[in-house]
Amino acid sequence: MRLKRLLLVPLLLAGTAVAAESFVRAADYDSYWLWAGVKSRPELAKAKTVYLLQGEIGPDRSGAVRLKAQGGTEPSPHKPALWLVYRVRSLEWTPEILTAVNRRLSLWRAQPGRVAGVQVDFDASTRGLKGYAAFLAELRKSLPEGCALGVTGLMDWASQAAPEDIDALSGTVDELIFQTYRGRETVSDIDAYLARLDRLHVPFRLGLSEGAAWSPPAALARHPQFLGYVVFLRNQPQEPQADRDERGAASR
Amino acid sequence: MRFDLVGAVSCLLLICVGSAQACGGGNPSKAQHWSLDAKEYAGDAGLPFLSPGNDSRINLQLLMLDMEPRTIPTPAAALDAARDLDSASLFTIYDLNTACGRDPRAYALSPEARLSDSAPSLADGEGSRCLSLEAGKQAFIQAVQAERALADAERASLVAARNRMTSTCDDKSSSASPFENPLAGNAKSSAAARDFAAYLTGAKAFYDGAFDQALAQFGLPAKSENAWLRETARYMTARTLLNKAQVGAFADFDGVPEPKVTDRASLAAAEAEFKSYLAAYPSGRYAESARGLMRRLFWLSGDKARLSAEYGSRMAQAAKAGSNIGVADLAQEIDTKFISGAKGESQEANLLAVMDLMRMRAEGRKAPTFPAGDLEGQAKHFAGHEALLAYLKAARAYYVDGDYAATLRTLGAAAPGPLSPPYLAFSRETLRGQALMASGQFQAAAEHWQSLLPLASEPWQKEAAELGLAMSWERAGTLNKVFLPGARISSPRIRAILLRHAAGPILLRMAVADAQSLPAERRLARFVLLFKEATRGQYAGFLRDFTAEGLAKDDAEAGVNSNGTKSGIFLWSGESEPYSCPALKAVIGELAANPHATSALLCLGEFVRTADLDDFESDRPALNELGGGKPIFPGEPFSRGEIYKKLIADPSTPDHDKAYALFRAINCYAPTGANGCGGKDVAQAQRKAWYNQLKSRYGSSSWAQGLKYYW
Repeated sequence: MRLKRLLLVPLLLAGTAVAAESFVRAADYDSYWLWAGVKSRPELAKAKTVYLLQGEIGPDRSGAVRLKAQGGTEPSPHKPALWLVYRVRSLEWTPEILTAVNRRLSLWRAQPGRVAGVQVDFDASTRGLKGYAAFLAELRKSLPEGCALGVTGLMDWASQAAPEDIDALSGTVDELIFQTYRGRETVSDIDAYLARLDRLHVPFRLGLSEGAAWSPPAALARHPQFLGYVVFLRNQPQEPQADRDERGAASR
Repeated sequence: MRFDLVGAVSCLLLICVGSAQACGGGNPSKAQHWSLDAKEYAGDAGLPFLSPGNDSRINLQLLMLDMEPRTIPTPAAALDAARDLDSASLFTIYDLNTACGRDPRAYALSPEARLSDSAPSLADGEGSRCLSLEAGKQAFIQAVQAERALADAERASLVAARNRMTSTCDDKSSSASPFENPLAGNAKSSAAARDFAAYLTGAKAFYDGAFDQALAQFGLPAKSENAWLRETARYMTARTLLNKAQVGAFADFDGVPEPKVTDRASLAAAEAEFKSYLAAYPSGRYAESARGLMRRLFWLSGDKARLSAEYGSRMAQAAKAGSNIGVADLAQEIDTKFISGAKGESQEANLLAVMDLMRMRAEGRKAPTFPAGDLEGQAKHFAGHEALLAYLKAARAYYVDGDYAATLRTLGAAAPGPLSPPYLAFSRETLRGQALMASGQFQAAAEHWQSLLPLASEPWQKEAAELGLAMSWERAGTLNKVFLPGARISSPRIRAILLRHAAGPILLRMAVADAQSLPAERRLARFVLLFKEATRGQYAGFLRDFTAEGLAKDDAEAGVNSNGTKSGIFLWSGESEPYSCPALKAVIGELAANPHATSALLCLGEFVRTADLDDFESDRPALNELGGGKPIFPGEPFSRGEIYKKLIADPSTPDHDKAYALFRAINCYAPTGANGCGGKDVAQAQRKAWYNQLKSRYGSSSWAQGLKYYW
């Protein structure tokens, strides 16, 4: 046993029998991310929660930050609770971007079905967490009442960030989803990361990658802040995978 | 078209988690991988000829540019990038989009300004039927003002009503003007006024999404005496039917825009109306829009055959001046609406060609499967495009079969004279050079590239030919020609990659001394020269080439480079903690006198460690990439790991130095167990043994006392 890891693995994993390694199957879960380019699936209509990519916010080639719509779903009646996800590459949002995000939210809210909130998928470095928290606090203010704010997080936050930095997000962020994977695979040192989540005071989920190896640590289910799993859907390998940047479904 | 969900698509899909530096690209250890052989999907990176690795939107644009002979200028931003020695590729799809006329600033314009040039926002999925809400106002008011049959009061009422009109555009939370009778208050209205009023009520219903109401209103103005109303109402009838047909077509959760239209009757009616509008007004106010909406209609109805035929004819128009859809936007549309879902339905040579090139892509270790017979089977669709088919056959032999002799045979002899059409002909000649190189005929390849150079006139083509030439020289063992007056390769980016990875001390010294070298190039050359001399045992050379003034001057003249390396690091003044070292020059001086001096070796390690250069030589170009030939610089790449192992194993190493070597060797694996020092990895048992040795034999050293773990 590595010495350092021994010191870092406290209550969470202690005494849990590690289940035989298995792979993430979408049908075993009830919440999904649907990214641009990933095709529609029967699981989605029956899901409890769907995290639906709406667009990307980032600088274009001229450096101007703008919102580019993504995905293939127009606001429509829906059964699953919905999170509207934005992939974010810049925090320098213009007022037009905020307006567009709010308008999209409003279009979805006008349809039958619950809209839980807006999720921001931003790769904040561990060191940049404080600035990110400030941005999120501002964003929260501009969202209407009853709209939750969620963020995705990197496993590195759990291992490297000071707990108070992550906790700076609590109060601003209603849920945080840690990605347990890198590319298609679960990160190799996942147990060490998970072990540190027990200090977290922000409600969180774990994001799993469909098809990746995953052995759920039993103690996780008892974590007071753990809300469950979200599976990042992938296209079936035999199908041609097209990643579309563009929503392209705009009605004229 | 991207086939890669794992790439730089998403933070949710992040490959390098956490390390902002590795993700941001500012990493001096990252090699540039320049090659003419893009056998896998290359993402944003482009080559200026038809290639399987090009994003399909790049290949589509190159084919469109060939249809309308006009020279596109290289965009200014791309010219700047051409002087950035760290560029990852010849150009990116964004550079090409800009060169093809897409204004990179279009997105930053105000919404009003965008209306006049709506293509970019539409192509980016940001359009809606409300796009015409503002522009339509102006047209309506002008038409009202021009109509003599209206009484002044009617005219005023209609204009005021249109000015008051806003729409929620499906957003039920926003406030919009209520339905109103535009002529309320006008006691007895004229027929013309009633026609305009009906149109206005219809338009309001259209923007509000009440399509049946809108259709009921447009009937009257479509038969109006007023020509503007007649034409506009007919166009709006077709447009309303199309919008009605697509209600709910995108209701399924789907990451791919795949329409599922249930209201086929409205779709058929929309088609009939658009056709009748276009028959009546072939060059009418809305003819271009109607033709564009017909494309949308084909897409909505899943009619791939007509969609592909329409794209085939649009492609020929797009490069023409005055086309209402630009080359870049049409490429984007074709990619989204046709290529991503196509399964061989096209009979259009240009679309087939783009999809055929995609079939020639390898995916990781999976080689492409694209039998020659499949391509032969398409021959009937290439009537009039024989040269394109011939290129595809040769490309298939190269990329799929790896049969270079067959590639050359299929290409036949080069046509004399200028390259025509410019991109297809250049593609053919590039492939010839690639096949010559792949079959080891470097001399013939070099001659071929040299004869191609004066013919390459489109943006990035000259640099692509130089890339082939430089790679051929590199592999023929005549790398020096790249830098020789007369033959000198003009691309600083190509020279830089070779200096970094391939050049030996002589060429590096030449580049330092050459007055023609760019400042950034001179800095790179001196950096690589000194680093390799210091770390590969060329100590006397280092002392000869080291000049503090030169290093300071390099940084002052070259400014900040994108990967952040500075030559000033060679002016390292040593350290007192954790291990005492003199300045780098003195360290190398000691090594020049005694290459085995233990403390100097440790200090060389300290320099590399503190300058964060452990990975400087870890990423090398592959065999078929520029700089991937046999390296000329003598000696082996340096690793601190091997130095520590050697000092630990050597019984004559003084205690003090052995303790520090142990301390550092253990730390090579901090904090994750991954080796950060280079050299051959050792098992954890060995790390444990080092730890125990340090703790027991050298337990009194400060290093032993400060170390609590091994990894």
